[in-house]
Amino acid sequence: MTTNSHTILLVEDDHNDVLLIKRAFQKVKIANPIIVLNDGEQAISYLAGREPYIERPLPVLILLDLKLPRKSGHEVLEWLRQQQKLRRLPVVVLTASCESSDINRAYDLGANSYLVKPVTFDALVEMVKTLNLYWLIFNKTAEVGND
Amino acid sequence: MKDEQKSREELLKELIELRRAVVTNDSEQRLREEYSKVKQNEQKYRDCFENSSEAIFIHDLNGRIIDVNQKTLTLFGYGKSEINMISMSELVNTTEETKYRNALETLMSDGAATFEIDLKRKNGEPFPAEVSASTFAVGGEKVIQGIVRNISERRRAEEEFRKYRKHLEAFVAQRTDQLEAANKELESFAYSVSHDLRAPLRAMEGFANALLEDYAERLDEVGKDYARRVVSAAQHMDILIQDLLAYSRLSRAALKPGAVSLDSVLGEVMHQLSSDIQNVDAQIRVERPLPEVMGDHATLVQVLSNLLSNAIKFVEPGVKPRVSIWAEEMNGKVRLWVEDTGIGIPPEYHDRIFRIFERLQSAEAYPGTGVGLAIVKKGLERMGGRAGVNSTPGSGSKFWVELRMKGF
Repeated sequence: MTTNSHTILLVEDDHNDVLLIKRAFQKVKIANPIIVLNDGEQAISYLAGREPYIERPLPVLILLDLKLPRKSGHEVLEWLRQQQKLRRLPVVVLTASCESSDINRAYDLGANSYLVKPVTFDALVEMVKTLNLYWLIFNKTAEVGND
Repeated sequence: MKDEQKSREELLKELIELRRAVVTNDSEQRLREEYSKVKQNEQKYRDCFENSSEAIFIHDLNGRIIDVNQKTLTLFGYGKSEINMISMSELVNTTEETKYRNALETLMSDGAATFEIDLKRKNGEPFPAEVSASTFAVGGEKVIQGIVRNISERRRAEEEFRKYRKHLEAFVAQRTDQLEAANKELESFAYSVSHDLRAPLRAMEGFANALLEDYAERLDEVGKDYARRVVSAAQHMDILIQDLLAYSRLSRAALKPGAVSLDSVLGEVMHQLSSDIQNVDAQIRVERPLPEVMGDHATLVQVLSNLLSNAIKFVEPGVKPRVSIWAEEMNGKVRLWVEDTGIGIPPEYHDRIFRIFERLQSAEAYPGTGVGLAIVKKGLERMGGRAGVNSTPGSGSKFWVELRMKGF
């Protein structure tokens, strides 16, 4: 298990959104490597370190969409918070839904933040800029992988 | 003379006797007449009794039947001679004995009683009945007289009514379930609108933007204009979807009505719109303190936000918007006014502007979706209030919303 990495895990099934989010990261000049996973099951396999992700680095931050194939973001979040060694990983929900039921459920399941994807690219760049400042620069992360 | 005198005495005697005879005869005649009158009366009462459409019975305190009328005989299926042989208790259905005893006790203590009980015919067939009875004395002896009504029809009607009501309840429950299901479906529809329809919009906007930035030198002005149009159309559609969602949420959401301070609502709205207000350098004058009304805070914020953003938007180009906001109280109601110095609205459109997607101005001159005032109207409807406008073109508009005052 590689700890202390700078990897950002992006769990997102929409390829356009993946491209745009990556582009926004470039614009903001965030150097952290981004690993993209396209469904909830992949995300769980990756985090659990199962095949084919045995040698995976643990992410410093998870950007999690809610509406995902196979397993929803809510399910991933619920699973993650039950894992003794992973439960402190910071999760920022990044989704299109602004329904209060989705927002409440995400926080109930232990999300650290909830962001709604903006339609305009400029707004997305603004959001990623703030995300970088808050979660990657200022925020102190907890120890992961220890009890 | 003596003869004459004698005959005179005799005459007198005769006269008295004659008169006595006449009197006797007279009273006898009268007696006879009286008697026949009494008989006639008796017959009249007897006829009334016999021919009554109600079944009437009279029995003594031991339940021995003294008299019943024809209707009673028909009802129970007995002959006149037979019924005099039986006691009242034989007419009561065996399952109802305790009930009958209790009813008799009430009757004896109160002097009258009305009760429903199952009786039985001579052939043993039971039928539901309503009995109204009272006690009275005949020649010093207490007897019970009453009326029996067969209420089978009424029972059937009641049963029918019960069945209908049950059916109706089941029907209403089923419809409620259907409506709830439809509502759920609508919610998931709204969800997919918010989630799935906006994803392609992000792609359109994002990649048209990428074209403008990354391929700027390879696009001529026309190409750039096209890309910019894609960007602004995507942005407009996003606002449209958001407004529609807000409108549909307003129609469905459960409101939490209570006392709401218009001052705090307006404070929140001014904060929300602060950058718009600064951009157009709008002057907004509020006559504080504004009163408290009965409504839902979040809905009122939505309503006032739409009214205020309209007030600063619809002005002649180059004109600085000036808005006055004040409240009026009357008859337990509060009317909040939002007056602007804008372009105004012709009277024939005063109703139409509150309908969804109705627009009076081109999107180029005044951007918008035509949902704002529909939200105002729907919001007020949901809170039990009203909204309206006074306006003439060229001299501004006065929009108002009316709600119950706090405590009313």
